Amino acid sequence: MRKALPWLLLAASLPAATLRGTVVENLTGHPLAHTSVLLEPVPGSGGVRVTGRTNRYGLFEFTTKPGIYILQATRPPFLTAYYGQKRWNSAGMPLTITESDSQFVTIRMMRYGAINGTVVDENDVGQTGFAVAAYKNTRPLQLAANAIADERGVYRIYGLLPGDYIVRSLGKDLEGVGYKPTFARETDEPDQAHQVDVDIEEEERGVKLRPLPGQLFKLTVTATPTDPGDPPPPVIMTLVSDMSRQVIKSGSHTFSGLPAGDYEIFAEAPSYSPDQKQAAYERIHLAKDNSVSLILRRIPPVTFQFEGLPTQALNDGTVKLLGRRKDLAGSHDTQVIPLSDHRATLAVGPWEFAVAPIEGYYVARFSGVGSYRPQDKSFDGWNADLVIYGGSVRFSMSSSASSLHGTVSDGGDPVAGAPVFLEPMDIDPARRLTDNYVTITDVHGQYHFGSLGPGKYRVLSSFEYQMPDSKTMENAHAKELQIDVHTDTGADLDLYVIR
Amino acid sequence: MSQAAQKTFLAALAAASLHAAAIRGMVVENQSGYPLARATVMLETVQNPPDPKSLRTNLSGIFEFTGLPAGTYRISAAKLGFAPVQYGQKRWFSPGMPIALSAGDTADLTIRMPRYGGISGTVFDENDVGLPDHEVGVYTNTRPPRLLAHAPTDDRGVYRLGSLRPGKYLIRSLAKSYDDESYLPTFYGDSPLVDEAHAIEVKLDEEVEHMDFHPAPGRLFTISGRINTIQGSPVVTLSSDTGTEMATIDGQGNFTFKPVAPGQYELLGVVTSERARSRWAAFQTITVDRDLSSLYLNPSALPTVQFDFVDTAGHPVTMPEGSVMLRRKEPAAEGQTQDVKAPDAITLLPGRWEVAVKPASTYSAVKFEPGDSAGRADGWNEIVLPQGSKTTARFVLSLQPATIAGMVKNPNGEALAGVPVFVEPYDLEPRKRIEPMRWVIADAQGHYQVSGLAAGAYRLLASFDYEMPDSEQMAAADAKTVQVEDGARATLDLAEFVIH
Repeated sequence: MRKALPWLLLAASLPAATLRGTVVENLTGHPLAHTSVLLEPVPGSGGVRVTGRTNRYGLFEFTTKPGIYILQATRPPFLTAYYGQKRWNSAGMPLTITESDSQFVTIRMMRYGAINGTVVDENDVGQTGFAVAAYKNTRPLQLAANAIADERGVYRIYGLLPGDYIVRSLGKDLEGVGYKPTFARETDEPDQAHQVDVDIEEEERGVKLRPLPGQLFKLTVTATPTDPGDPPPPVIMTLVSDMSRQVIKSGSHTFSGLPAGDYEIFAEAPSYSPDQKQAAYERIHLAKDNSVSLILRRIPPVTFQFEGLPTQALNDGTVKLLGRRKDLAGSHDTQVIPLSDHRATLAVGPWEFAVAPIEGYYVARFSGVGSYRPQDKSFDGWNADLVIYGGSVRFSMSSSASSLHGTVSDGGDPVAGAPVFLEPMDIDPARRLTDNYVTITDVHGQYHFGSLGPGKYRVLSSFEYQMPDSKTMENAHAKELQIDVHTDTGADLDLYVIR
Repeated sequence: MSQAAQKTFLAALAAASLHAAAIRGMVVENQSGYPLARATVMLETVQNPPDPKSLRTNLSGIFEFTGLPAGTYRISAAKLGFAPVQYGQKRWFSPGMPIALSAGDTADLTIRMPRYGGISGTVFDENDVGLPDHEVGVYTNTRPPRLLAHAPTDDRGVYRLGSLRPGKYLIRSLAKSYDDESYLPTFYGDSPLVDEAHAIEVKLDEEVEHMDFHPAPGRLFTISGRINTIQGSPVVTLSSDTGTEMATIDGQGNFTFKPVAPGQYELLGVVTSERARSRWAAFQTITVDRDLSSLYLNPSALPTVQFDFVDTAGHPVTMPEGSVMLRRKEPAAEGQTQDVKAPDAITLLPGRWEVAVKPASTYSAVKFEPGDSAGRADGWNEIVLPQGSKTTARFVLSLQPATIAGMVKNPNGEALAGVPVFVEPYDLEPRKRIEPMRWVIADAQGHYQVSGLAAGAYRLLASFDYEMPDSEQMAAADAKTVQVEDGARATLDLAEFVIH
């Protein structure tokens, strides 16, 4: 099915074809109504992109052009599902739709994993109201999700991808006793914490947390706007630690039950000027009860410069500036930052910026107000910066980007619609725009990556993964390549299949 | 202090401690028997004043009150997440049994603390697939129901409403709009109508499970409009019997609510200016049966209420400060009760309010204007304040309130000391009662007296078996009814009621 067929070259001229199907819940087989269904054509197969929704009975029907398609279904809180995927994290298999076919397909949607348990005291009695967080068992830890224990001490953390996690109760003053953040198995050391292996659609039960007594502190934050206004502008303060983000809608607040450690304080309010905000940012180390006074100042917009690109590229939407806020709790979601006359008004604090790949170009250099040269010496990924007083951020774009192309085959036959993953090995994984660059092969099994900076890469084609990590790339014996400046490298690939 | 005096004092202290009584014991979780550390244990004497003392249990759940003089004591325990307990109570609603200690006695007690109850279940769509992030509310089983709490479903569509006192409740899945479908508020029993809703009985230490919903799909409507911000900071809320929502408002005063189910709503807009130190408000009652996109709120000065107190002969009465209470009446629940500091004239937000005269032994309210002249006035009285209105609220007071008195006897016909006597204002609608029940304790000779009563019918019950009975329990106990007139003294002897 996935192999390219010569007749598909004629597909564009063929009349409409029909695809019918159903989307069901994997565990129960119950139909999933109102599910988004997307039919994405493999390049060159003649198909066109179609979207729709299942009806009340979980059924969908598309009338479209014949072609090769990837079929996907989306409905929160399920994982996005692809037609033909082997496992929850596998890529979808291409689906050939012909005029004469009357196919009926079924997509099974899976649920995320979860962890539940109880926060107990020294006598195994459930403790009320503790916040509990699950972290991906990486170093540093990555906050995955959190929950609040109910009056019985029972908590449930859900929406977890399969993997290893550790669970921690957060600091709390309760009945006159301070409890410090404590990992499962009564430790404050992540390396000694009980590791919880979460599987897809499964609930890991009975993870008991017994918070250890410990000293907790108070932090009083006062944020004073320089533009007071009438009415006073609403101040939003956020206190961030490596465990949580607490948001308070007030210009003055005392945070209590805080363990010793590093904290970031963000405060923000509107100003008289509609395109400016008043804001302040401070990072502190808390080791006793403390108070912090912040003066909110008007933060002018940040100016972004993209050197080396033709002028029209800055105005025709070719340049897509990406940004994500960073704090002690981790990275926020990536956003496309809209620019107005090369400027954007941003929240104060640490940020990371990148430019979405532009064919023929790569980022050769980056500079910002609080930026630094990354250890891996590449700028073609996320670049850290500190936004405090506006300022200017500059991307130097090189037009000497290289490209990589080739054909993916299986048993000598070209494979259409196969995912191809390209890992920039020289860039620290935390700085990569995504774990890998990804494309899919066209109807002839051919793939192409442009906009590559010089460096060492690993390339793999497989339906087994949606986004393999470095370890998976290594285990799959991904092909290693050295790409020089301004070159076009050819690399044909054998489809990797786990037998 | 001289050495001799010091010796005498120490000897007296030693003698006292030799003869002092003690109460010690352990607090445990009712279901598991596990010790409860850091529970608060309270001790008070039955005599007046009660001289309360409290301490926390140690890590092993143990407490000890030492150096107590001989006497009769009540013990109670409290801990976060547990229902409070009185030592010796027969049921959760019974008062505790006092402990009599002679000099030198030591009482050794075990106090078992139950958890509150809970209700859990799943909100399903039409294919029995759980709906995530769908709010479920729990209500009193009254007409109209009062919203007590709400909780969202998780990724499986599972909800849980915890910390519920024993009793009967109604539950309802609230309106929710998803990408391609929306659901109407639906009571448990899959009906939109409260009269078809199934009441759920909750008990201590128990979870009522599988209370599942299949909410009815249906159209929700959008509500939006504009509020005149008058250079202030606007807040716009929309209230219904499912709760109160706050609108999102842009800089021009355009407001929008999340889609809502059809029904009756109260729309309130409040504008605050710190500079002018003023507030303005607008209030509308709206019927939502279609999208409403051009609502306009033009706030005006807050309504004022002038209170006026007269006796039954029409003569003015001067009331002491803090003798009037009021609370805002919203469709889902009553607001917080607040005292009216200076009852001459006050400003309030427009909308529905309830006012009451605090019970006192020297007067009682017999009439309220404007209001329902047929009903009793010694409870909460509704008052509607239109936007920008000026209203006079008049209480007619009786300065000779009624009294009910009598004696309580045990089943052997002997006078019963210390028994609680509960007095229910029987012909006053339960929802309008300031306190659900009044109570007094019979004296050492078994005599009781309740004064400061408005004319009307009352139900009385003397029993150690209740802490605070409700109307249903009063009826089940065959409580005695008595009708009193203004200024009258009614005599009613009671027999102790015991649950067998």
